[in-house]
Amino acid sequence: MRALHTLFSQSRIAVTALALLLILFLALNILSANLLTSTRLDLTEEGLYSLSDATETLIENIEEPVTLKFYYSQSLGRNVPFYGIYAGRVRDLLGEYEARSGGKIRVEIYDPQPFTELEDRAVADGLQQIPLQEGGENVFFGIAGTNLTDDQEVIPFLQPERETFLEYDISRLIHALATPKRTVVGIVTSLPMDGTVRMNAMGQQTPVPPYVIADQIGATYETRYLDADLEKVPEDVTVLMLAHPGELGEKAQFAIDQFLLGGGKALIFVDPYSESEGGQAQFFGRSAPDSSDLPILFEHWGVDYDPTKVAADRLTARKVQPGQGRRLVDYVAWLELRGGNIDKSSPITTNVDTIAVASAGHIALAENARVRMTPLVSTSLGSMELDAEQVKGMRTPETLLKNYQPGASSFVVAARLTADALTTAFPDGPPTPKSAEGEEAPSEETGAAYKAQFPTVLSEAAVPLDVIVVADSDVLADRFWVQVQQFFGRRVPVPVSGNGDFVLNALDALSGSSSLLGLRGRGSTARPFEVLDRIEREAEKEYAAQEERLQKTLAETEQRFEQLRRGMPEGAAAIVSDSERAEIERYRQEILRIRSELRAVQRSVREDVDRLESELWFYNIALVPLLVTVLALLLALWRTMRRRRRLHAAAG
Amino acid sequence: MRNIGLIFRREFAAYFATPLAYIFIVIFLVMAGTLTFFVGGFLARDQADLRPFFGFHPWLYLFLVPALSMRLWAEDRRLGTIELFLTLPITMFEAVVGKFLAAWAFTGVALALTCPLWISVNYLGNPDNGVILASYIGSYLMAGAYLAIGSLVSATTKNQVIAFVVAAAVCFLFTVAGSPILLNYFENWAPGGLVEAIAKFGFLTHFDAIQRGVIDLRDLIFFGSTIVIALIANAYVIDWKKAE
Repeated sequence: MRALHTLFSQSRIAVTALALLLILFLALNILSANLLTSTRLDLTEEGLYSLSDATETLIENIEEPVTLKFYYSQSLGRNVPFYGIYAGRVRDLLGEYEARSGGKIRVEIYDPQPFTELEDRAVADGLQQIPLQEGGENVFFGIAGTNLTDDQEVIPFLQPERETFLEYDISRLIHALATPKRTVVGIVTSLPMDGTVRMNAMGQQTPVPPYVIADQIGATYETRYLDADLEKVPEDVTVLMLAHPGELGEKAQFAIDQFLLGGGKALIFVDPYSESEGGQAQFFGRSAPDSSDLPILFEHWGVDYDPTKVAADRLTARKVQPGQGRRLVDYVAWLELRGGNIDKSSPITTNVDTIAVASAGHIALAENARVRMTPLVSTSLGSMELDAEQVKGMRTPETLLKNYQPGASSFVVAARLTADALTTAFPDGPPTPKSAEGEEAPSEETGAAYKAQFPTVLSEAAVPLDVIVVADSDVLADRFWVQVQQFFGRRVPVPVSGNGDFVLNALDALSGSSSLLGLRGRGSTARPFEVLDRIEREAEKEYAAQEERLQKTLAETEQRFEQLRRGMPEGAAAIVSDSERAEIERYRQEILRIRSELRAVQRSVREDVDRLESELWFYNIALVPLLVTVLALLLALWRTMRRRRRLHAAAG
Repeated sequence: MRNIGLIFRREFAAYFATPLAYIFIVIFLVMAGTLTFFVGGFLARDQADLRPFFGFHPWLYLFLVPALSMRLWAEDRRLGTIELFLTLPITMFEAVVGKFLAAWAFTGVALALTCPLWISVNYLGNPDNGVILASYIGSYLMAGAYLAIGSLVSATTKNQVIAFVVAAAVCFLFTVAGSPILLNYFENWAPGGLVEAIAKFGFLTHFDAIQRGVIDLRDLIFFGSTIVIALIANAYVIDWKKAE
């Protein structure tokens, strides 16, 4: 009885002790989860989850205080714990911004409950409300920022897919609020970037909205459209964007020259054939030119660009349907550049996965060029050059594909041009105004007034040259990179290519918002298996010529076979001579042989990759287990032998 | 401390004296590799990282670790060797920690033998090795937590099969605590605060956080406290059962 009593009390103590341990465990973790923040070791290569130097610089340079209102509905995290975790991370990061800003950033956290004033405020602040279930309560998860002058910037909803860009998104918001004076981008273009009016089939004028890219640029920069005949770039312009300006005259090129020598930056889009406007050139009174060029400046810099040549690339060609009900074919002049075609080391292109261009030109450096060129976007090896005329008017994708002759090189479609010291392309000073065709010659007074605008003519650059040249203007056109959906009367652009990011990154880089650019580059998640890509590309290169030859032989043989067959009277097997029959049979055999050879060649391209894949399977799944098994067997054998020896010794 | 070392060495060597160790390692490696390549689509993803590999770890451990831990104490209790253990001049806690460390080191060997995958991914592309290192650390910590729970369960029974099944079930609860599988069950009746608290005890939640490449102090505390508390309870349970 006493023993039972002791046991009972011991059990009770044990259960109590275990319960206490459980409570200790729960308490420890709940407290640590709620009290500890941001003590972590970031092992990622780029320090993705720590505030970057770029952000710290940004925070240091904040001039006026910024308030960040973080709206997060707790019920979202309860229903979808994934969001709860992400919200915790956002809260931590915002806390870090606040802590490091020395009072310049204030963070307020709200949990808007349904049907409350706070919910209305969240909506008024521009946050997006998402219904938890159909017809259920609305939840919020976004950030609204304000500054002293009541400017507002919003992240309407924090998408977990953008987690690696979270810091960029927040910093961009802070940057916009902290620098109310926006950088001015001057735009010279013949494209209807800012919207236009078109005649429809009924002869009525219909408005066409601005390019999506123009909207996006306008959200960050102050944009100012300049005349193509500009004599002088306005002084407050920091970046000049030439978007398919046509062939600029001497005066305009001189203005650009002086602007660049004075420290201005430029983003230049020239195009041998603007698909967007060239084909449908009647927009309100003036027709857009097909091609654009900057002959004097390019020649002076040592940039080779031919406005009559288009780069064609079979490997990155986009598939198009040449006509109704017809098979999709590769259109070698419309390219979707990706992977190795885009320079991943440049912050401008590092997080851009694809760039769509249409009948793009290409640029190269001439011998003794005065500038350095860093290619950003290039076509694949084996690209060829086409005359721009070949891609105008009636398009024949099949013919272009059939006549495709792989060249030896790849072409640079976009590049950054830099020079430490550059001289003017106009050593004789401002050009003398010339009369345009059909106009009176300008009077001397006009000429003098023009030259008077330049009391000092810069002959040498004050700061290093920094220019980005893109040999295509269709990258800007909506139809090549973005689908615009209508959502309750609002235009919702859904990009299908990275053209928008590319252009914005380029402007960021040129305008000196490099702190943002440094952030935009972070968190690029694409880390392809370069070795597999390389093997595949090399195999393709190796077999391309062989495949081409076989395709050609096959087409010829089939054609000859068809001719022979057609030449024979129908249903006249009896009349066909033995020799003709043998000839037909020979062709048939030949066709079969070429086809099987062609298949073998196509298989060969995959062979090296397949072999490597099999090797990888073996090394990673079987090799170590095999070695472990062999080791185990050897050990077992050794132990058995040792035991036997011992038994022997004992028996002996 | 010396006693822990002694027990550790004895137990660790014992693993390699039986086929169990080799079978465990072979099954772990073959399954990890097969899942990574054929279910996780390692090559088809064309991304130089080890996400598909580490993504399967919680589920692999869920079955393999209880298989390893089931004999830690259950067998000693069945054979009665536990009494022998207790006559040695060591404390119960030292015995528990020594055995646990031996089993943990053994899983470490199994984990280290997956290095061909790390070599492969570095050969194929340019992975973020910091993220991979963090994931390995996270995986190892998680294995330790599974082991500590398994060891505790093993101490409560003489039957290894029961130890395996119960340990697997408890580990499953800990694994899915932060995922909708369990939360959907709770959210209909439990108060929101409780649901959120439960979510903080999921192995998946904490392991996913580490897999991003960041080792947060809170994740370390979670796995560390799971191990330490389970081991203290383990020692306590053995002490308690001894009296029966």
